Amino acid sequence: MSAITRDRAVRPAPSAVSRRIRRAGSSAILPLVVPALLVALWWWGSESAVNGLFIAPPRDVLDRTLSDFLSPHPGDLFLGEVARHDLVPSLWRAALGFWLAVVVGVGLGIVLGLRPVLAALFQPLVHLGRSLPTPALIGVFFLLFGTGDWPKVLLIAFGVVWPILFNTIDGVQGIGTARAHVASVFKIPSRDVLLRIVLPGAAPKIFAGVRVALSLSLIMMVISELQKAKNGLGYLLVYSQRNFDYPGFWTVLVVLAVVGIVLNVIMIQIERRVLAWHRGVTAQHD
Amino acid sequence: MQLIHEPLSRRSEVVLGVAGVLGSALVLELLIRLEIVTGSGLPLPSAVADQARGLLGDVDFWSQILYTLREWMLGLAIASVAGVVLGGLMGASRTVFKLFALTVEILRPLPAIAVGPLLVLLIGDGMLPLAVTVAIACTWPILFNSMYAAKAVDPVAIQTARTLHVSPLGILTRIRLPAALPFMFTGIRVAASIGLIVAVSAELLLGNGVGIGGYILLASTSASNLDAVYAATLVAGVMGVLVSVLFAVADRLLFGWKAGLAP
Amino acid sequence: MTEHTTERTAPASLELEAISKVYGVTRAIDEINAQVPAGEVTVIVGPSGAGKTTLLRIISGLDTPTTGRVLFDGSPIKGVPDGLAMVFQDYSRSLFPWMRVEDNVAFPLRRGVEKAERRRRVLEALQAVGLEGKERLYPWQMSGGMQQRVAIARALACHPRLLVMDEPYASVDAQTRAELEDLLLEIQTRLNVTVLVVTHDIDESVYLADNIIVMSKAPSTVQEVIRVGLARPRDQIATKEEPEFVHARAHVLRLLRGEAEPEAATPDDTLEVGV
Ligand SMILES: Nc1ncnc2c1ncn2[C@@H]1O[C@H](COP(=O)(O)OP(=O)(O)OP(=O)(O)O)[C@@H](O)[C@H]1O
Ligand SMILES: [Mg+2]
Repeated sequence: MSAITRDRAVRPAPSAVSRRIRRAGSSAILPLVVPALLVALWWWGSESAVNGLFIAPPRDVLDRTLSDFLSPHPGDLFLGEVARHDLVPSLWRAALGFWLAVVVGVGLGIVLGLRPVLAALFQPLVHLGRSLPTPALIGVFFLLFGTGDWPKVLLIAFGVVWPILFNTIDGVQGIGTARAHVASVFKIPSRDVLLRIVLPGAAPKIFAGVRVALSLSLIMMVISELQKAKNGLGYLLVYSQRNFDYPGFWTVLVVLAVVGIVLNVIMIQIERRVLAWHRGVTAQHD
Repeated sequence: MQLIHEPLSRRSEVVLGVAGVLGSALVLELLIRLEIVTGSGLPLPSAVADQARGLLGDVDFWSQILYTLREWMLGLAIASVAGVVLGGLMGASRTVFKLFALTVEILRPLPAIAVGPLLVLLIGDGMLPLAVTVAIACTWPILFNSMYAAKAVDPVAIQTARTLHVSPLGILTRIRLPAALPFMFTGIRVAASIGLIVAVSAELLLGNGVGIGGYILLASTSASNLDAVYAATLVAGVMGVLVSVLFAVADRLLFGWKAGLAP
Repeated sequence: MTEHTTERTAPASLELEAISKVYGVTRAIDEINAQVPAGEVTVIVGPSGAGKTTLLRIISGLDTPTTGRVLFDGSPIKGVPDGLAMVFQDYSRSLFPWMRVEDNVAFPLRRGVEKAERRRRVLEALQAVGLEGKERLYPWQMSGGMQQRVAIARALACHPRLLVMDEPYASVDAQTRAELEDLLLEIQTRLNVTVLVVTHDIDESVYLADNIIVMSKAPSTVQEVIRVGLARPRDQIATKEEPEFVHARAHVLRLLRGEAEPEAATPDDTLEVGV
């Protein structure tokens, strides 16, 4: 033990700069280790005799992703054939369903959250909605709303509205008596109470719900396209698998992951802006 | 705007809840019967309830329910082990966190359901690919909560224990673990609800007619049998509600002390 | 500050007539009769659970009494009286963490006050509590004492005629508490506003008060109303050494401990202590 400490003491202390560089280097490399291993595993799997059939080599998948989803033409906004044909409609429907869910979920959630009687009336139904396996209703939605985009959009909205609704109710009810008293003592007009107390006060909870809804809407997007679809990532997933086009199948998975990551980053940025105060408050209490 | 309300008593909450369910069903029933809303495939509450009652008396449907439950439990168990171990390590060690954080962020947005077909190809038929699909979806909330759990312990509590001459092992078992457990359990609780939905969805999309999802899949093939689809979906939803109630009760019983900490 | 005296109307007075409050089966307040004279500082002290917070909520129209009524400037209140502003005990919850200090203070002013006037009043109020230059901060970027000052500034910006405070200094340190006490007395004189304060701290009650209303434990009644004739401006050290201060403090303490018989109420119902 003492030998080690002596040894350390003799060695010249690394300068702060070199220490920082080394730390930066390790923090840049460390996160890449596991993904690299996973890609290696993927490649090894694709070479294996048994499963190699179903596992497209990473290289092929990368090529396919680039050629299908990107294009050198500015006129196509650099979007490849497949991106234009499947990715864009998929995202469009998902966005529409998601926004519908946000509007309905937040609006209804505020109304219910402000009225305990209404909240109590609908609480069991909200819980039920949250627990329903929405994909089971896909067939029903096609029957109810015809074919085309609408049943898909509505299925996405129906599938993801519940966490938003639930969290908004929770957030509004959690505003607290102290703030409610302030509102009435100072006779704050309803509009201000709504826009400047209720909405911001419930915002952290609402955002938590919206985040869940966002990742759910990606799942619902895929599911809504597994039947009766002419385009979309979900359709592509089924189509490529039926045609034993496994590179195509893996490509869709990669694109889904990329879309998920991009949406997540966007969400984090919006949250940063809107909830800056909230981070300040929680940091203070840490 | 009225922001202050007398909190409702537990009893009136229950009464209102029941009234809300029955009232909504009644309104829907009337809307359809009086043909105020029309269209094929609308769920007539009385017919759906009838069908649900029939399903619950059906031995075969019960075996499907049990299949789904077993699949769900298997998936949840896999996810719990994976999530608690990896999440706990990520919370406890900066290095492990750095190693896995990016990977987790890349893999998490992947819809578990989309990976399902691949699992069937790789693992083969049966319950395992379904359970693994469930596990993938369930891992994330458990992992994140376990990560927070590992950091949850109040440093003051540890310092206090040190001054009381509690051994390092004692600190782990009597302070760190009790502080972490409620958070881990929260993760498992959230995952349990998600897991049941994913289980049914996975059966629906990749299964071969097994489980509640499989039943719904078969029922949806004939348009005349829509009430069965609604009923089975409803049963699955009610099961989900029961599961989350059970977990909430367990949470309260096991970790009731946590409420005292709430700011 | 003379330029504002025109718009700031006279301080308000309060009368509490036979107020009682029953929660379900618990009788929190048995019967309270008291006066809060205009332009003075009245302090309510009483044991924990005596119903002080309940009484303040009734006075500020947030709650209704089971029986009895509150007269604000002679007329019974319906809802929150105009001209009443309140400082809550829990500043961390009564300030809005998503608004900057200036927006917090300006918030109650939004209705019907010009933008320039709003700005002027915010600055005036912040200056009154010694927080000039802090208007762009968020509450959580400030210390507890500063946050409570913001809450006071928010109440002042409304130009209240009655300022109600529920244990306003219970969660700040002793040094800040002393500063805020002096600040309150100074503002009260300068702005000529009626102040009603609830406190747990007996020293604080005597130091701040022109009148102390001592409540008994629940179901509560008024044990005694003590008139404090200590000269203004008061001083944290000198005033607290005066015999009247010492006497009054001991008297309140005895009342709260139940050792002293309330001194028999004289017909004009208050009495000078230590004179
Ligand atoms: N909303 C309520 N429902 C039922 N009981 C209540 C309610 N609010 C207060 N009480 C009861 O009324 C009594 C007086 O409470 P209050 O909060 O007014 O006391 P307090 O004098 O302010 O006490 P403290 O000094 O501890 O703040 C207590 O016994 C309390 O339990
Ligand atoms: Mg109180």
